[in-house]
Amino acid sequence: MKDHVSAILTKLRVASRVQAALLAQRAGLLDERLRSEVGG
Amino acid sequence: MALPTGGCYPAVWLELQLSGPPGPIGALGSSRHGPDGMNEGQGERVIRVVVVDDEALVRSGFQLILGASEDLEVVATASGGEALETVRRARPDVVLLDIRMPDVDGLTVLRELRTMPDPPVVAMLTTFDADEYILTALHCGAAGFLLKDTEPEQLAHLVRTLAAGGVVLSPKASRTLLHSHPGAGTAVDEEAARVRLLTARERDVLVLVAEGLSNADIGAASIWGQAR
Repeated sequence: MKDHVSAILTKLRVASRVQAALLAQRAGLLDERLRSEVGG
Repeated sequence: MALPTGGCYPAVWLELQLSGPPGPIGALGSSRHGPDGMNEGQGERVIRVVVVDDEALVRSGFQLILGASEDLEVVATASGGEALETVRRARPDVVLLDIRMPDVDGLTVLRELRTMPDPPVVAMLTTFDADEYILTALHCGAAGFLLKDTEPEQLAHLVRTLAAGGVVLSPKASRTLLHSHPGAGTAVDEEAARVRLLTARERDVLVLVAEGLSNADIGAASIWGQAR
């Protein structure tokens, strides 16, 4: 799982999990999840 | 919340000291000009300013206002078309640049100035505190947004903040920035493109990371997710 997360950080060109989290938030990924939970 | 209109915004200016004078928040970056950060703003060093505006009245107005402070000097003024050449020659610390000019628009000048080696700090000038180009200008490297009718005393103070490496935003610009939708900026578009490079599974993992799960938790959660 560690490698998995590292690969994601590399693809997103961020240095840390926190930056990845912020990026995910900006990209609207967290909203999508919320919507799918509410809708499903 | 209903916002007052017609020039009676709450006078909240946003000033961010990103670098410059020594202090608790002076640690980020380094002052562009402070030789050793000693006694800045005490008149030891004159801040050189260039004002770029097509209206002669505005140019001389700023010259008078800023020239009244001992530590500030308007070393040159220019219209939009003359801006680049004037800035190259005068080597100012700070450029106050009108965003809307008939001959060359301020954003174009801004982009050109930002390609200079060791470019000056550029703050945009606007007549009305409601400019659709606020975000574009900030994205292009503007360090601030100033109103042309800013009080003289405040104006001098804001120019000092800019020279020290800070960011200065008029009330409306602050609000525009804070309420801006992340989808609009190109930087965010780039990020979105990178997110699209992820596989569906990686995207799921990213969401779990964003929710603060540890690697072990994510491992457990994704196995559980697949089993469903």
